[in-house]
Amino acid sequence: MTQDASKDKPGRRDFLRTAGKALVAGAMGGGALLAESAAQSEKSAADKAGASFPTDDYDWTEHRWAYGIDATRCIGCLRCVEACKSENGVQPDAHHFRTWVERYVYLEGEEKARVDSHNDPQNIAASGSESEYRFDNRYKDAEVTKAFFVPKMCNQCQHPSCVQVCPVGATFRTEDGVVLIDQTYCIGCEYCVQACPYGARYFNEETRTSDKCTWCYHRITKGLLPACVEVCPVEARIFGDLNDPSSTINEFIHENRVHVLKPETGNAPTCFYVGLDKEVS
Amino acid sequence: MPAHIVRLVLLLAAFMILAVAARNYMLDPSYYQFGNYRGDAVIELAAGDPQFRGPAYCRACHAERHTEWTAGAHRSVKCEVCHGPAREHPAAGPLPKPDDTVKLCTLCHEAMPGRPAAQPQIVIAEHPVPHDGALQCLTCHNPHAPKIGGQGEPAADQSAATPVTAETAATAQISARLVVLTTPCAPCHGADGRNASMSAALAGNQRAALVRKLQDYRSGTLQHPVMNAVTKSLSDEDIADLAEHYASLPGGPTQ
Repeated sequence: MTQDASKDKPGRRDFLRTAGKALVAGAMGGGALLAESAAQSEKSAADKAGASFPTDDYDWTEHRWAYGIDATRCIGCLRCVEACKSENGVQPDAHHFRTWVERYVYLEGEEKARVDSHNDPQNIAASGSESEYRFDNRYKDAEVTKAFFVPKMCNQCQHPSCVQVCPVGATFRTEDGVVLIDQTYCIGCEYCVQACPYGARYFNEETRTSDKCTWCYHRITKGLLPACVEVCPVEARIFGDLNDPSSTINEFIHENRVHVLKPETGNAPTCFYVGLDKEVS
Repeated sequence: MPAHIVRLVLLLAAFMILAVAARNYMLDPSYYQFGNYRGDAVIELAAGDPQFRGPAYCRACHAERHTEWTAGAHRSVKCEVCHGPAREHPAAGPLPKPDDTVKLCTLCHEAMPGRPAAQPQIVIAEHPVPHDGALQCLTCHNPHAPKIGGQGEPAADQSAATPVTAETAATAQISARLVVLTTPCAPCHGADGRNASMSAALAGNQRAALVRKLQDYRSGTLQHPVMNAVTKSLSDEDIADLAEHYASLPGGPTQ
């Protein structure tokens, strides 16, 4: 037994030694290949770093976009919702939308607000069509103690939980501060739709991918305003560059006491609000 | 080296080469360019065509409308809010002129709890000129400069825009009943009945002539979309009082 055992030991050692060497050699070979490919992608990044990205006349390192919403100005006309859909080709029904407006109404003797949005059945009935948006006037004869409108959309967080959960790297935050979705890489698992604390994402059944507000990335990279800001008739929506000291968004943030929605999530939104209320989140 | 070890090493090596080759083949070259995502996706998303072009684009052809609009109360409401996105207009054809302005205008101007007090709002049922289907908002209001008598309006007469309040009523020494009766008249004819720039001056006319006119509008003998609508509910007594009131006011151009 003892002899057998002693005879066995060198055999095992040999095996382990050889196997270890083989593993190290293999890992080094693979590592070298990996290092090579990493070097290649770094090189292509360096090539592009000198030029403007993502377009020839727009350099994303020079901008830091932010959005302001003055809820005290909003009249609930829903032109933003309609414009967003035209601009971004969102399905023209009441249930797919990148931005929306919530109406909060406190009635006499009630502690909780009644909240509705354009997709409420009564509002769809008032507009007469799922592709037209308006608030009905259901509270005109009610005893209203307080009422207001709050525009909502993607908050383009600095620590976005949607990006955190994406299993395929299909959603990301750009250098200029916008969270985007790569529609070709998205596998439609909807983890991000679940992860967003603001309910800003929706599932697009036509493309089988997640979808959401991009702050009209194709517009802001051309020097235009997002469509919702462009059409807002009462300047309740403000957009601009934090890197530009004289921008309207800097003025908005400096001159008002601004809030973000659900700060406790740690998502650090870059949508800043004026005129929120205890129940708005 | 024993043969089975060599086989194992070869197998491991083959697996690793396959794995690295598969990764290189399947991974987009722009992945990891800026982070854990495809760099080209940013280029693709930035490439879309804007649909809304902004008022400066419209001004290129509609300079006169643009000037009228910038001077009026609707200057914060851009062209494409009511006309829709310009897209490839004019090459792609004309943009719509909203046909149902009652539906369009009330999106912003229907009195509704929640709208800020600064927003001009009307209770449709109480609007001086009743909406009966045939009458649209733009029968009286120029959509590009909607304030009647306001800046940018054909009738650049501020007095016409002054609503009849208790104060103005007191100076004109008219009764509370007449305040109600003259409310629909003032936007076009002026609080003093002397505005003739966008309608007929009322002040200083003969009483009998005013009575006849009002009766003819009420009966439909005289056709005018606004006048027919506002006179429809007047009684003979209302007409007599209105005629008496405007006949008693001093005529002449608005001061």
